[in-house]
Amino acid sequence: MLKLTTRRFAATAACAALVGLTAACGGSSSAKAGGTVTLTYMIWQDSEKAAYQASLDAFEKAHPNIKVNLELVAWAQYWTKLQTGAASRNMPDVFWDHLAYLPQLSKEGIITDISSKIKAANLDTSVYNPKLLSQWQSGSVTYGLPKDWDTIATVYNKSMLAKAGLTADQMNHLTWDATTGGTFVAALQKLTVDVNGKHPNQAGFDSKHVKTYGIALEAPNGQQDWWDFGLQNGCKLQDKAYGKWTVNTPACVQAIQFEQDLRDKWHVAAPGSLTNTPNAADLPTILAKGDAATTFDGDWDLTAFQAAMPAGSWGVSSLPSGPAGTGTVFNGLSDAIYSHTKHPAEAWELEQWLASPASEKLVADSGTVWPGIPTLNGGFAAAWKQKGVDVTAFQTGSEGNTMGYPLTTSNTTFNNVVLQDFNQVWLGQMTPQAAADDVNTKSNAAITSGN
Amino acid sequence: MSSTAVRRTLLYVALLAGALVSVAPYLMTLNASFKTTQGMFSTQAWTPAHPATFSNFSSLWSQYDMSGFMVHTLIVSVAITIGQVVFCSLSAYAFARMEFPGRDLLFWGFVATMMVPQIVTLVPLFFIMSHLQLADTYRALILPYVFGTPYGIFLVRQYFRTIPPDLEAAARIDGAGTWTILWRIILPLSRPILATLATVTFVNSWNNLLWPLMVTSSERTTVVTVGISALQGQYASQLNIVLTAAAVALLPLIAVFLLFQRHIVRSIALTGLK
Repeated sequence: MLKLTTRRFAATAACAALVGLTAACGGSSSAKAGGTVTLTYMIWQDSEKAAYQASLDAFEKAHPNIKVNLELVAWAQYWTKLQTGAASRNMPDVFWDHLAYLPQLSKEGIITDISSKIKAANLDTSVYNPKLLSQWQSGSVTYGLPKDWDTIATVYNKSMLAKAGLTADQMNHLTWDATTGGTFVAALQKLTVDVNGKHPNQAGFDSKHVKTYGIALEAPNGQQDWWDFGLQNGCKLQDKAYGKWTVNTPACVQAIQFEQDLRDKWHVAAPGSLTNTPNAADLPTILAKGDAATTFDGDWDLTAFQAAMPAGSWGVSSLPSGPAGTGTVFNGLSDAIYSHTKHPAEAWELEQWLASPASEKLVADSGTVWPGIPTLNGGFAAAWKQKGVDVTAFQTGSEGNTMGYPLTTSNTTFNNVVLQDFNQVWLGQMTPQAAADDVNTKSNAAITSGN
Repeated sequence: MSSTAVRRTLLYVALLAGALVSVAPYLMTLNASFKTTQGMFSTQAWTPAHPATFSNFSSLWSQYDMSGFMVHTLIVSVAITIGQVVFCSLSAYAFARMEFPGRDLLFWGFVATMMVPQIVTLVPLFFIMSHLQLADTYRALILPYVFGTPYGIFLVRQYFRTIPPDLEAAARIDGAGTWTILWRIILPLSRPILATLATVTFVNSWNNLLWPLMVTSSERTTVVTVGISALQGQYASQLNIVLTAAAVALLPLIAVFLLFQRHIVRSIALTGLK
């Protein structure tokens, strides 16, 4: 009897110690305490955290009964976490939404249609850039208010430009065509230097030992490279929003061929072995290391360029224009409200605040992102001017010929196939036509099968 | 030089090369944490940081809650480690020494779950935790691992079986009960394997990313792996900060290893485990 008691006592003690320990450490998970509601707001960009925290602080001050827990999850894990949460019906109340995922999220019914709320609150949506707002609308349904926008522009190394005898103004007016390469390729030839100091258009140029390439192009899906060349060549990625992919049409294939030629024919672009995702260094790193003199990148990486390169050593210019004129991908994010949130009213309050001129001004003026409300654009540009960088080329791009991010339910398939095939194209192991055909067929099949 | 000397020299050269390759990534991480952002891109990974800067460390503490990350991870890892050592010892003893119907079937069934990757149980586990209202608490971080794992139980059970049963029989004749035998005889003899289990558990808990990432969402529960992974941007990241954080996160693991090093080597020698 005694033995049993001792044994039982010891076991109970061990359990109690453990439960006590875990219970003592566990915070309260209750979202409602003393009338205060706690919302979770999930974002993925570390460089934007400070600005959004400042915006949330202002929101909490104006709404003493709402606390917002800002959760930062890196892009690499963001969608996994969101989808696991969706499967378990436990998602953040408000979270950043990307057009690449919008169609799937709306199809699964896990984001809130806010059109009736907009009407009830009498919100003036005409303040937003109409091109941005329409991306989040489908028929009478609205899935978010524009939080920001981004375009692609050229980022260059100032001293390399000066050494090649090129001016910033020249960079803003480059043109290309598929046969001669145009002034764009001519400029890149001046910027490309091999170990002996020779350029690709000179006799004795050693294409195997290049010290600096004219340009580095890198994108997991095409947003920062061939989509833009495509637009400048009259290519359309889709026949219509939520429609079929059309990436194997001649205008698109020619644009992809042009990018392959930059690497393999003219030797002015860094080879696929240096830039293929996911193993390559990111674009700010490639530029900072001096492996390339210019690159195409989105404004979301401005902070990374500023951190990687000495102040005043880099600049931004417009993308070149092609046979069909200028063009850049014009994309933006919105804040989505989880449709099963326990606090829909508070979540809508937060959404309204984040998309309000007051909050967007606060974020734009800190130089964090371009605002969804175009009248506030000047604040973002001014913040970067103070840091010594003229970023207006991104804005010029947004006001010109643009294409939105493709809207499709086949995004997952497209992303997988495009990365696989185009990594081979940039290594010269697959023809642009074959890759485009493959991507097109598989992505369109995914629309029909619903994957 | 005799042929033995040649062979020995070659062996040492090979071992030295192997050691260098294994240690190099850690040294480069440590080295990178003393470089400025621009210094990192303009020099090779193995070029010494010159001049060395401590700015990465200070920004890690000023811009991010590094001490918070470390303390949270320590709480979780220590709780899991204590639980594992206690519960694995109890169940390992039951599986190694006690007689009850279906014991071996139960044991092998339990061990078979080792073959199931963590990712498979992720969604169900998260579902359970969120229905118990435990999401984003320390309990959610600790509970799934604290009651022993098949690996831990297997490891300890195999070790218990190497202890001669006669020792136990002798103790029983002297009037000792099961609890006394476990506490006074088996456990003191098993210190090396328990130290190994504690080390392995601590290291695994410290390095676990997937589960904490899924189940926590606020800064009061952010563990170090989740904190570091959040420092990486969508396309570009501040590598020097990430590497500095990684170097700092490595330090407690090195401390644990140095503390238990003697026991681990001894337990490997005894069980023949590799």
